[in-house]
Amino acid sequence: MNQRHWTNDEILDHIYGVGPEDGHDRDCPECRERIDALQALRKARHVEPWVPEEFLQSQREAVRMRVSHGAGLAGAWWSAPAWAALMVALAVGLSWPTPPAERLVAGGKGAPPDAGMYLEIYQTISTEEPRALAPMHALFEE
Amino acid sequence: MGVMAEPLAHRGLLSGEAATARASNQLLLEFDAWVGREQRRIFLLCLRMLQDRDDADMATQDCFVKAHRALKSSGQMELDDPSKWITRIAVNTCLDRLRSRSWKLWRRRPAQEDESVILANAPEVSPSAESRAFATQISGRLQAAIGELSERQRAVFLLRHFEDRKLDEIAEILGLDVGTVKAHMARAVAKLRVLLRDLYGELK
Repeated sequence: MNQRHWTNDEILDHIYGVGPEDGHDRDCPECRERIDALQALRKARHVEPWVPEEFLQSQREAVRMRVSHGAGLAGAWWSAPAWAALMVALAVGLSWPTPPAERLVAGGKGAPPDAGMYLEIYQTISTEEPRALAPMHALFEE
Repeated sequence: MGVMAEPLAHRGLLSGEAATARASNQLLLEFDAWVGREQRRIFLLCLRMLQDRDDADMATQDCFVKAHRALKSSGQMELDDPSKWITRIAVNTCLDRLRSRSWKLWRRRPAQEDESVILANAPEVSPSAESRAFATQISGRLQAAIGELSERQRAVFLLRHFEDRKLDEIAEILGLDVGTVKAHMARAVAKLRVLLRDLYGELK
């Protein structure tokens, strides 16, 4: 029998399955007792987090839904590529060169009729003072 | 995140003779009841691995969805130990999540002090208020220290500490050699001994 008692570190290692393998724990009642005491203390200090039954219930419900709809599986594989495709489509759409605005060509679609345009030009030329001054004159009139 | 089916045939998890063996189609029939029996343990394992309640919730769901999928596609196979099998799925699911989490740089773990506060605030069942407070303190410290372990060390340590599993069993669950598990465990215990030196002194 190995006469040397195990250190506390060795006992802790033994509890986790990585202690010395000299069989001292079987031969030495004193060390066996220390191991049992530390095991008991370890278990006494063990705290199990509280998990509410409602939480577990809703989790079971979620599992049931995912299993029956296959949503968790289907959603998982298509969602990433689908989002990527959508993003690419958006990027392409935004960067696509827009056609130049339609030029106004006399007689073309959207151009003012010729008669109206000529009349406007004539009025501008035949006015003695710039139209912008007229409102200012009005300020000094009684 | 993809959810892949966990193969049933893996290092002794399949057998036709073990006492706990159960046909996969039988397990599928009583799937709800089985989930009810295993759910709490699996959730706690995920919670300890991931240290995040929402993440653990999703991981637990993923585990059972994967299990259902595997059972459905496996036909008449015999499962040696369904409990060990779902544990293996849980550990692998958590390892995957931990790995993908390391890429998410925006996701920061709370500071250790915050973790302790969070864990200490979690209500638990314990006989006296004094011992409960002390046990909660130890538990919080231990949980924070476990967070410092590598993914494998964490898995190995948790399966031993909280589930009292033997090293060869842990090796089977994780798909590793016993020697590798021993090495992970030795490193984990050494690390925790340093991190929890003050508490460890009290236990002695």
